[in-house]
Amino acid sequence: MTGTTGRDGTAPAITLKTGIVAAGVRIKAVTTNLLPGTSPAVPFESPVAGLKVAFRNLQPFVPDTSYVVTTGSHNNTPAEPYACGDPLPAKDQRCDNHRDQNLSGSAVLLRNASIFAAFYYQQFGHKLRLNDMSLPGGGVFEIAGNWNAGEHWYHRVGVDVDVSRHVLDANGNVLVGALHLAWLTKWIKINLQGKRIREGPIHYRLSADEIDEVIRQELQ
Amino acid sequence: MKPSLLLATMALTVSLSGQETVQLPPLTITGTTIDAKVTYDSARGVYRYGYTIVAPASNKANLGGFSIDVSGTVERPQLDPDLQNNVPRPETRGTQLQPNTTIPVGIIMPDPNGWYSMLSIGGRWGFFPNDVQWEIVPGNTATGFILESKFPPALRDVLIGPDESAWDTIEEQYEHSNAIFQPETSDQFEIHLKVPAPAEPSDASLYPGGGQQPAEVNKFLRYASPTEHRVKLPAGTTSFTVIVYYGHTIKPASFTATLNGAGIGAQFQAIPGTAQVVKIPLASGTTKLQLTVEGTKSSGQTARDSDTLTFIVP
Repeated sequence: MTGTTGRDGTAPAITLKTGIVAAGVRIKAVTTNLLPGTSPAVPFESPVAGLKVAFRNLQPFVPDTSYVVTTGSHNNTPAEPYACGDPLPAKDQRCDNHRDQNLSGSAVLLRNASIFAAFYYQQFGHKLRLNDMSLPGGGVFEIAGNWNAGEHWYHRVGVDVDVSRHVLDANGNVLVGALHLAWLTKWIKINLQGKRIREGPIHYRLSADEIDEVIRQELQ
Repeated sequence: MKPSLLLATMALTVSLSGQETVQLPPLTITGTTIDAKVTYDSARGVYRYGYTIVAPASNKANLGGFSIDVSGTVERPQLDPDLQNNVPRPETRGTQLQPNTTIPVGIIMPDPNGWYSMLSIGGRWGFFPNDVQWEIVPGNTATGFILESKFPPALRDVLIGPDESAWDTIEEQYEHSNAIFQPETSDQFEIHLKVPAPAEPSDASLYPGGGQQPAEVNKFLRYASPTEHRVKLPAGTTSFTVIVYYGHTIKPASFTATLNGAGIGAQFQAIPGTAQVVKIPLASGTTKLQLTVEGTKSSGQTARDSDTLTFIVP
């Protein structure tokens, strides 16, 4: 993106929507001639200044492994890491930028994710495997490596989390398809006022109503 | 509902971008009702709120969960040994979710193995079936959901949501696709109703019924419902929940109640300093409920409070 300042010093307006974008933005001032009318021209280029466009206060999720573990795309270690922007990698070989950074969230999400996992463990004696949350700065959660976000469209604000259908027993064995899905959905809705979002994976949103409204408006 | 039937009822479209849009079937539960029977145990000073839930045959989904607002404004210990429970209370394990301002309650479930119940992060009493066998299916009634509390009743919000298992079955078949599901949440199928539940009514929130002066006499009988002396109701209304608060200095033997002139005093139990829920029948037209009671003023003199509540059904 570029913008040109006005003769009276007015600055160009450039709008970045953090719901869509969360990234580092580099800003540089450039002019072809610092002294108009003089010859030869005196071009100028300022140093680059950094601007981070992101959701504030997202924190990494640190699981208490006595009752919950994490899983997801960060565990799909490809033989050769791919860089974002490369052609679409093969299945299960994810964008390197995202593979290890999928578990950040708002304080509300992190607290509530620990709470429902703890109550689930108490009820069934099984550890939930929590999957993707958000990137450290939020924004499009782009796991396919082609920046064509589809299935993880909602993981942008730090209030969403996926849960695996497979849980761990007390010995750490994976119990395939053993998640008590209906129970967990009801527990989260009733006790945390969260909701299940129908996105394909088992996806919950744990947020304040006002955040839901922001998301709704942005998607319109 | 069987998965095969569900699949037959859902619509499937494919967008220009190649993404499938799966229309999930409605989870309508709009005809659901919840009724409360409230009794008062004078010996313990405890109100007992018993709830009955009716799922009409027209519901499109089983009932998935319930929550009733029991939030308050003053911090209190959340466990009261005078109140009975038959479910494990997380508070005893140090895992309390509700704010300390939540009204203390005891929780009794009809089958503590079949139902999960606790107080939620928002100060609401929530309960839901642990498994499908306890779910309230269309056409069925469930009862025996009980709260105990030392707090009197007022009409409070109850949220009822549908069970989403029918959607789970469909969605599971698209787990590895990039299908888009509509609707994305079951929010639109949740219903909110009003039901008597423990409350922390303020002096200002109770309706004195109008009429008598001075004000202290007018407070011998007050109401959490209705909050005006003339109530217009929708056509077809067949009953109204009256919540009456008896003053601390009333004389119970002097209490009278009539409904369109017929005595119904036996339905009331005028205990000084307590509240009572009475459901009165209504028919089309005007129904008048008249309540009177004598009480002692601060001067020591006796005075009478008489209220007439009018209900109009087209």
